[in-house]
Amino acid sequence: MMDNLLKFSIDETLKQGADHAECTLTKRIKWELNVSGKEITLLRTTDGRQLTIKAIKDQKKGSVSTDKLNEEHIKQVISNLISNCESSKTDDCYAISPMEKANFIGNAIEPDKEGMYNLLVNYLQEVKEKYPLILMEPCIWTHISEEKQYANSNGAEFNSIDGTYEFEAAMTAVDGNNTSSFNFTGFLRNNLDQGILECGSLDTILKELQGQIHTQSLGDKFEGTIILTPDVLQSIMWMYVNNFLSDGNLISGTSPFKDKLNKQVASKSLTFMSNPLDPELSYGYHITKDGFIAENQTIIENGILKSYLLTLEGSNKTKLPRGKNHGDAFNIKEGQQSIDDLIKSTDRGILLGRFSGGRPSSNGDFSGVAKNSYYIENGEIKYPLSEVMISGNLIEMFKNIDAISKERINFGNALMPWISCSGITISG
Amino acid sequence: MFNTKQYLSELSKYMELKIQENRNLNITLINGTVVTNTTSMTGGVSARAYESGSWGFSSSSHLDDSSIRYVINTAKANAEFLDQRLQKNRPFFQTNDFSFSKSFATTKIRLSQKQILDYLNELDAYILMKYPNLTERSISIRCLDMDKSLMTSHGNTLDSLLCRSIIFITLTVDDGDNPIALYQVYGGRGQFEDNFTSPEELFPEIDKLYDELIKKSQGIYASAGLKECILDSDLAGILAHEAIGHTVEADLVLAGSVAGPNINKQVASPLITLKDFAYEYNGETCPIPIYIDDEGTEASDVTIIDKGILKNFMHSKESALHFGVEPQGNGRAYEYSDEPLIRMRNTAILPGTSKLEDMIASVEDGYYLTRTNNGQADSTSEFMFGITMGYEIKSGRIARAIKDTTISGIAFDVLQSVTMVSDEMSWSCAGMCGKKQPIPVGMGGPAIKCNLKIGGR
Repeated sequence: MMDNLLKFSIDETLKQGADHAECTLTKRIKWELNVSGKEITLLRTTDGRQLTIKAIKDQKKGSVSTDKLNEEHIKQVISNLISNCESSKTDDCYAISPMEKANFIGNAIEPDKEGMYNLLVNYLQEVKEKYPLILMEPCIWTHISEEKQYANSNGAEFNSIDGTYEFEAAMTAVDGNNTSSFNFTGFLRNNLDQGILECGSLDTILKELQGQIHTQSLGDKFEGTIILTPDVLQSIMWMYVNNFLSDGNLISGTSPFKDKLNKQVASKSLTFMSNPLDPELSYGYHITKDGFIAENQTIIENGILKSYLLTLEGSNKTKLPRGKNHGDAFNIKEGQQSIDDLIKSTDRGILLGRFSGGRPSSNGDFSGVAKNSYYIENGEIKYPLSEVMISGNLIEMFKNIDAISKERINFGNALMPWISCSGITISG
Repeated sequence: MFNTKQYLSELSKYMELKIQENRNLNITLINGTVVTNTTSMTGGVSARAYESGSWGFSSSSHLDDSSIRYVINTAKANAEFLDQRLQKNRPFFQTNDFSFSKSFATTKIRLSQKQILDYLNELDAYILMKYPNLTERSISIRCLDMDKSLMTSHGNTLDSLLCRSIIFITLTVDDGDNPIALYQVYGGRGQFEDNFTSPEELFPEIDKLYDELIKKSQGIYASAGLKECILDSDLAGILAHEAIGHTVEADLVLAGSVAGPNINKQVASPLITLKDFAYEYNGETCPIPIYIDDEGTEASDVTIIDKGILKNFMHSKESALHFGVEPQGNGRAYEYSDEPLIRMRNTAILPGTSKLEDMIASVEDGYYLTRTNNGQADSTSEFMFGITMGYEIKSGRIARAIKDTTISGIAFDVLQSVTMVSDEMSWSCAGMCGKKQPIPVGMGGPAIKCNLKIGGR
């Protein structure tokens, strides 16, 4: 049932002259423990509400967000919103979603505070014993309870309540005056059934960091192979999605994928999905940002582009199909070979732990520094690297996939394997 | 704003109480289409309590008497939750009674959002009319007001309105094979009316941007490797912030940053003096002036590197106590719901005595790098910046433009290689620094001549 505030906001927006209105009311409560160094330092609790109203008048749009939720203020805010619409530009692509209604209730809506505290204490003790050189800054262990209500003037009404435990940590290894590069990782869960160190790639990252205090530079430049680890693959898939598959570059026409639907864009071994309803994932969602019931979707299947991640307006603008969801919950299908096989079949290359670089250019060219990475030669990991730059093109990289591992890491909001790609310039 | 002083008696021995509202305006045009036209207000009340080494924080977007009391009590309860379990028994902080009030609101008549959008539409129309060959033009305005009222349990207060308004213009052209883009940022501290008067004032800047874009589109890829480079002032500023500044934030020092063991050692050329300014440089207000930080500490300048010697870290009250020094106002928080973290304010390398033209003339084979779009730092002081505009230098002369590339290096090694520092200073404040929370920062510097690694083909 629609919150009265949402109904009031929709009605008031229409009353003040909008043709269409869309409102989202989000209530977010956090219970968060923070670690600095090796000790718990802060317990932080936040309680926030935010109302976002979008209006379309004469095919001109505007939106406003506020967390002052009294009716008097909302009326004033809507008045400003209507003025903003009127001053905007007409565009036939502006629209709101059609009428649908649904309710969703997730898991872990209330935090198990003592459970969280105890798991964190255990984690810190385990790290102290197993990886004594590790320092964390920051390490954050949060429970987020979120209720989201969406309504629009077409009669759509959604309500979703969910809770998630989220862990994120940035860490370095320090031995006397020597320090490693920092690395970071995290995961999401909807229960406390496992210890923190057992989740995601955390244990591997910590172990590797201790061995990355003393590094070597490459002293060479060559074209070789990079093996993308699951952590770095997550960030690279976000670059890929933002550059080629989302509203911005598709609307402007600069995305190289704008006319590539149902065409080969990557290696046949790549199947890439966005599955917010995947039961294997702890984090997902049921309502898209543009007011539809979310569905799972295959973006690339056996290297063929099957869908974009366009919003309703992006779809109207580009005349390309709307995405069934707004991305995230990424899943890359596993391959046939083991991680060891990927390494053994690499003549010269690097195992890429983290990529420090800017946004790729719109055609996919990228360059940046390989962090927390290892040099591979003749099928063996030789040593951890420092000051190595890599450059290439995202599209070409995924066309030149040599192999995908059968092992994957479940981060709670993503399922990622290791992927080996050739044709990358490596210098250091 | 609520009068926070009425709650002074309810605070525990060390607490901060803050009421804050951030107001954002965000309009983006891409090829004339309004893709974003939003305003947002995020505000509420927060409290942070310290109990013998443990912190408790609470915030609420609901702002009335009962929610303020709720937040105060919850912050205390959160600190006690940890203190009962951890029992660190650490001392409390020194008090201070410095209070301050400052507003950077415009005194001009406020424009409506329609008038601001009209301003952007005129810029867009100019670009379309003059440069129809562009494949994409993007214009964004980002305005931020941070309106806060802070009180600590010592009774010192801050009332401030800090404002920033910036316009980003990105132009894209096709070089025959690929799209080539270049952007520039205009504006800075102050509300829109104080930074932008008429669209025509930006037309010459747009023309300059276009000229550089064309040079870039006809340019070459840089040659990868260790090179002698002149970093223009924007890049020197981001080097100061990213490559050095983060490594000397005391929380990262305690987490193992390479700066820790190097205090009072020579880490840079004697030509380098690097400071984090609180609110003023050379009699001029800095881009992000901080007079009291979000812990209630009176702000003063931090000399980080003095003639090449690493002198000081940046501190919160807690880290200052740990290191046995005085805090200087680096405890900053972005929204009402954020706790103070050690952040930079206005970080800059100080100017030297060389002329830019002499610096370029002194390079036989290298690069003059002028613009960046981002930068990242590391605990090892290894840094990476994206370079979006630059030129070859051949036999002391500017030659061909280069396409997008990346530079990297070990910050202390790069600063030790500095042999010339220009005599001009310029500031930018378009950046948002990320570290659990985003926050606006100022960065500044002269041009510097140094050696670093450039990525290329």
